[in-house]
Amino acid sequence: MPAMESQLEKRGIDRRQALKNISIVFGAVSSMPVFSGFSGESIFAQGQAVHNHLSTVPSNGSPAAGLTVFNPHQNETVTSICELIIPQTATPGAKAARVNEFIDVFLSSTIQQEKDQFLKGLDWIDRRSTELFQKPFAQASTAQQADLLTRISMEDSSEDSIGQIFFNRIKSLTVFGYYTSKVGLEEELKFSGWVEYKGCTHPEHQA
Amino acid sequence: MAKTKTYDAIVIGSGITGGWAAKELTEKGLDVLLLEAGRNIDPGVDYSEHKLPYDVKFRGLTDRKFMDENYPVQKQCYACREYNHFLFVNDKENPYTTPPDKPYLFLRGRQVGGRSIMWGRQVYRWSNLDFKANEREGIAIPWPISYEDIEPWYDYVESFIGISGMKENIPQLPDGKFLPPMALSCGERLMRRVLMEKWKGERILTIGRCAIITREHNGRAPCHYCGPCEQGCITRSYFSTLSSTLPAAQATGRLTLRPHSVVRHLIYDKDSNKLSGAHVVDGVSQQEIEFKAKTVFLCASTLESTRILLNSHNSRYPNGLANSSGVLGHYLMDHLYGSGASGEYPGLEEYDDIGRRPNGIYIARFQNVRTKHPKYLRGYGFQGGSHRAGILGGFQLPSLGGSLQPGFGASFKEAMKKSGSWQMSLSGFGECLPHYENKVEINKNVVDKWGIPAMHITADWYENELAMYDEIRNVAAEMLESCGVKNVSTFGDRRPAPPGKGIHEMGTARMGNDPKTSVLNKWNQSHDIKNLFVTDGSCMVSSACQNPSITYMALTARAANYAVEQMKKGEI
Repeated sequence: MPAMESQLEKRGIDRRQALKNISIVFGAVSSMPVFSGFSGESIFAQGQAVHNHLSTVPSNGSPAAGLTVFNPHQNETVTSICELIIPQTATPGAKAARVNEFIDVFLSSTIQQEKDQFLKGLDWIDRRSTELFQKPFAQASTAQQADLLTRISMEDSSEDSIGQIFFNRIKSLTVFGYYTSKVGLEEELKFSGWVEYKGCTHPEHQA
Repeated sequence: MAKTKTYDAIVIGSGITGGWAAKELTEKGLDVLLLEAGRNIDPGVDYSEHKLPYDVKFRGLTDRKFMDENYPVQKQCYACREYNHFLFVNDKENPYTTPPDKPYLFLRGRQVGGRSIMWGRQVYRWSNLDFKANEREGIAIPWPISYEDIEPWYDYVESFIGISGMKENIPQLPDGKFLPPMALSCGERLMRRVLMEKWKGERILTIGRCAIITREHNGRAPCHYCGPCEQGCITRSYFSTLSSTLPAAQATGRLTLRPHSVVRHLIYDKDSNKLSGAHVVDGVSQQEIEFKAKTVFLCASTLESTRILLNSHNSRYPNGLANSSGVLGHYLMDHLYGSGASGEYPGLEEYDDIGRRPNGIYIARFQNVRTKHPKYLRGYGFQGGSHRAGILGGFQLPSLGGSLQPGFGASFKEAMKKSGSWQMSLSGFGECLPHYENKVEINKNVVDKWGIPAMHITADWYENELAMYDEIRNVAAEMLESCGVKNVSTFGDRRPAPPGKGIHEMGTARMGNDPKTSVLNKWNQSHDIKNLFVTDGSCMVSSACQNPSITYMALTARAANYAVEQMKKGEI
């Protein structure tokens, strides 16, 4: 079907490449709701919990160049945390995938309450870092930064719930932002196209 | 001004049924005008199934502020995403109202192809268990047709569009004209085997029967498993008007397709008691235009077709055109949707699950088939599937709400690459009885962007649906556990989701043998006005529990055949 081939080319997709049999595939089965974490109730509950602890939103100042939400200091802090969550190893990490920029875009379209909650969490991180290390998070050593993230990420953490909730949120956003980036998809997951679904081919499961 | 052309037929709506009407009528020699309220679609530009998350600004999550403002209803549809939200209507331009305590989710698309671009593609025949149910139980009115009347038309439409599936000899879910089935996953094959042993054919897990072709068919390419069908299909591998019926209609040279044609009302000639055409407002220029035709096929979708009839009232039909029965607008139905159970399938850890199969499994209705259920009439089917969790399993994007591997850092990054457990889930689709109180009316105080009075929709679930709903998730959990699935949990709110969420709305202009209690006869022809046919979901007399689109297609082809015969005989 020449028409189809040309349509695919027009959209920058080589059909042979698209059909290439690869072992790693990435995506969502279309009939399943994927982003179930966005239920209004859970956002509201999280927001309420934070609101009970903190009543003021940190003043933000001007956004960093190219960003909408984060000021330069917040951006530096977020970038550091993301890279600690998914660091550069044999493959690039969150910083190379510019996950901080994705989180900024994400927060720019979110409801105010969720944005405030995130920024309050960032503020809490700095205050806790200052208590522990006498420096804001971004100025602390990598070991100190990792220490603080360990404190708030442990299952039996005794740190303030604001910190724990913030960590879970930024971790989710980092994972999402990283694996949906070009770097994450193509370099980490080696995604290069779609593969025919062969399903179960095992005689031992035969009905 | 030039003399206005009179078409043999006007078809209103270019979705699943409108496309079929256009194809059948043009192929039988009629000169057809196909009016579509929305814009044209250019698959090369508008389809997005091959876009990757980083190709769009919010990585598929949508601009939530924009969606809250413009698509507050449509965004609740699982298929409405950042990539394809424009295939759904802008809710600000298309208002409707409901009673404050009875929400209704009206999920819809307006473009050439309608919702056939985003539909779920599941195809299940009805049987006489469904067509005879009203009569047997004394519910509403009997269907004017039986399975035998529609069977050849199921064969006909299935053969043309291409359905993949497996023959199972299930009496209540007749086999169709199938292309090779898509593959079951390990978990699904395992569950199929256990169900066979336990239920001796009474409960059968089969691969979803779907309008996605698995080998070349009528010049269309087989599915290449890219995944998100709701975003379009440049290889035309699933059925849509654009991939299938529209090219056939256009090939006759007798089709005139006119997008941006919003029908304000049908034009009625009281001397002949017939329609003479359709009054249209151009969606872009807002110009008022009249088109003439000898016959009209109304295929604008369940609620929109009825809205057009209600808005076409006149002194002869003060309560809505073709509504001498008074039942137009009543007996709106949808399917119970959104409850079920899921868990982990142990023992499969050594097996991978690679690829994106845009299809699930189906378990046909088993309640009230052989024995009578003590609490409710009719029944439900299950859809679902089994896949391996994990970012590399090929199944899902990382979820912002889901649980993640613990910790952070290099070991966390490495752990993310490991496949998770095998999951198995079942989700019920339950039948809704036809209730007079569930209805669509016109709200004279609200108009859409084109100044056309909007709908007021009143719909709720009643005793029979609520009793069935209470059972679905528990039966799903029991079945999973009996098949060896562990850590089973149920899902679904205590109350069913609002009607409309199943996107299987039907009824409001039902068929029947008695003109006093039905709008359409057994040929989808108006009892009152002989040259009016309504062949979309509004014609339905009951809802069964199967996905309904294939039945609409079969009824449309059947009605078109009848209409042309009648026109040749001079009866219309």
